[in-house]
Amino acid sequence: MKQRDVWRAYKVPFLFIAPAVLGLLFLHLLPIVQGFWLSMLESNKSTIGQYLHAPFVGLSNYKEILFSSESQVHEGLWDAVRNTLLYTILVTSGTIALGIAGALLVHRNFRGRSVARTLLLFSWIIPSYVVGMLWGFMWQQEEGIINQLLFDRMHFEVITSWFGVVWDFDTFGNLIKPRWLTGDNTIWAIVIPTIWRYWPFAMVMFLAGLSSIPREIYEAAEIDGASKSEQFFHITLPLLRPVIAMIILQGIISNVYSFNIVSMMFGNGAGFPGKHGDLLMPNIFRNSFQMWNFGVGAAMSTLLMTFMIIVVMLWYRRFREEFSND
Amino acid sequence: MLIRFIILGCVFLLGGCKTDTPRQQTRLSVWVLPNFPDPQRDMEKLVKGFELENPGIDVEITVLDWGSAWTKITTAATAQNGPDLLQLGSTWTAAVTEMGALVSLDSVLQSVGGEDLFVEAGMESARPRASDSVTSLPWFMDVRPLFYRKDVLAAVHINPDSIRTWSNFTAALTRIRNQRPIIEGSLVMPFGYPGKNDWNVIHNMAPWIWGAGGDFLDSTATQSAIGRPESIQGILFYLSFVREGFNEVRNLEKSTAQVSADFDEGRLAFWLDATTKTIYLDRPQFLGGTGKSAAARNYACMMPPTSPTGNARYFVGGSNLAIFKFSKHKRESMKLLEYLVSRPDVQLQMSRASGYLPALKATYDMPYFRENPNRMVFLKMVRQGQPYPSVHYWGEIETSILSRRFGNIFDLVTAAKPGEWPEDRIIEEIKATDQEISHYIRQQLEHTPGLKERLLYWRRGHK
Repeated sequence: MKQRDVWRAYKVPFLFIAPAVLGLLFLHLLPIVQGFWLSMLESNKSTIGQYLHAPFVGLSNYKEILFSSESQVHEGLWDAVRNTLLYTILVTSGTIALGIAGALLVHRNFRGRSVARTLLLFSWIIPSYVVGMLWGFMWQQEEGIINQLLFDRMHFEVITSWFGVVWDFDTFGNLIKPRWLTGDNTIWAIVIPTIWRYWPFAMVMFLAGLSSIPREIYEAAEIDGASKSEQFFHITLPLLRPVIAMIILQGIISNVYSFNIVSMMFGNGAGFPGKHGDLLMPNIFRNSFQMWNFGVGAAMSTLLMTFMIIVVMLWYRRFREEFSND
Repeated sequence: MLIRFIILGCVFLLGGCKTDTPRQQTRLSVWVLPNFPDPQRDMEKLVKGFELENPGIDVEITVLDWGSAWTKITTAATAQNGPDLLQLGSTWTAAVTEMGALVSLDSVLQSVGGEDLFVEAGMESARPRASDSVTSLPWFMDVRPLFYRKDVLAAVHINPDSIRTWSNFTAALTRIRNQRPIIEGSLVMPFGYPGKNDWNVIHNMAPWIWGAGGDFLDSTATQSAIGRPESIQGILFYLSFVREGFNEVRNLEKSTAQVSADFDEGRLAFWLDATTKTIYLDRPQFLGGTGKSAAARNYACMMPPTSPTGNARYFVGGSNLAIFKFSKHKRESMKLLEYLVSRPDVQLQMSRASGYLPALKATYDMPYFRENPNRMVFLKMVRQGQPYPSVHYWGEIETSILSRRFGNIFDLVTAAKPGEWPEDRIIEEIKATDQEISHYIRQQLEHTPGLKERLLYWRRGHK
């Protein structure tokens, strides 16, 4: 069918979807174009009043981000990129692993299954900024419940010393417990609460996926002599691929754009997570709203958006078959 | 006769109608920060007198959260849609002035009696450097005295009056650390301050940097001064409280509120805090205070010690009141502003309720200040106080560059192994901070033509 014929044949449907398309264009495309334009302006507190008429500086904001060794934006960027990649990979994989484990657990029939399912959803219903604040207290070296449980109750230092881990002691002979909110450990201080917050979502998705797998497939496998682990790796996992694909996509997007947990954990927005905990979104926020450099902030957002478009395209290419009707 | 009565009746009726007509009310929108223990109600009480004196004006108070206030205020300034009168942190006034969003208050300042009425440090932020006019008026001042426990010092036989210099202070801390006094069941540690997870990092460090003869920016505010040897010495001295074990490393993960609670619960002998703390220490528990705890019964305040060079300059912050240019009720806003800043009785009421210090000098002559030794300390600190440079780019330097870089320094300190002290890496980080600040200032000066000349001119006038 020629293009003109298509238009003629589907004139009415096109007319019906036109408002939605225009709405989407207005809601999505316009801000993107505006953000891209802003990234080429010298938009700071002296010029913000001029908004989109601020002085045009071309690609100099991009140059500052990517190449200016003197600029604090450039210096902090690579730490944030490294941390965000690590954070996204760890959180997404952790969420998927725990989600599958949880789903397999509550998929079985046992007494109190409904109560267990409801209770396991608990961490998901807590707002992420509350999670950030709560875990900020929980991670503290002496007063925090995590170190108290690990070292005062479970004597984790003794268990780990069997495997050759060496711990430091102060001059009074007291164990120096790990500091989670400073130094290299910071990345774990933000990864673990994020997994804790989001794994129930993955569990619910996997539970839906598991319910849709026909029981007969497992029965046939059992007759053929497949063990439980073989059933898991050759039936369950392959049939859960569409769900895994969705959770990977959701995980990548929400973790790359993660802000609340890291922002609230370090001094209710006051603190800086440090070189090992700074993520891209808090970094962009700082450059835009604390440094008043909206042009640079918009340029960073544009770069991030471009990167995310490529990632989503790669994701689609990888998982395209899972969502095709054929 | 009947007609006369009817006419008379009509006149009375019409007269009655006239007096019953509701007066045209002006509603003033005011944005403030949480300055009081009960921010909304206490602020409403403060403006009640104004509403009674000005029956045609209603004041509508909105209390902003500290975390979001800056974004909301600057959004209002750029969108030209917001309150009539607003509170600005003293370090914010220059930035909002730079945006061209504030009304000039020169005439109000003249009408209330001129600059001499207010504390000098307050006026510095009211008239930003390189600005021709006053764009806000100081409302209250914020200083950070050294809170201490009289009973702890008595237990280790130290006379608080003898703590004047850095070395006296270090000697006192050493004695407390070595003697490990236990009072009312609590082991008292010498000193405490929070680390990177806090808004107050810079305020806590400032007196030690200034005390050592250093500074954050040079006198023209066009170059960083944090890399100077004196500034580095001040920072290293402040950090030495951790190295010497006076301040436990674990405190560096905490916020001000948490370390403050340690003082309240009797675990610290010395603690730097805002004067608002006295409100909580002096109040009974049922009013949200700390009641009759050991700290509340035995606390007193002193000025932070002076350095070997004899420098004694203390951080003075506070808040100002300003009026947006787009306000439709400028005259009424100016009236309210005058009421809040220029009347000693209102300033006293504000200070009693919040614990902050008045910006109006005359208020300090009242017995409330003269007859209380702690408040006399606060008064001395206000007089010897130093605000941060009132330039439009200070806010970014403080909240983004210095906070982040000092966060890195605290990371170095906490990551150090027992017995190790990463002094070289700390100095390296300070030098990097210096370069970053200078680079940022250079950018700002390039973006604002004529600013450098105006700042240099300002400096010449204030030499």
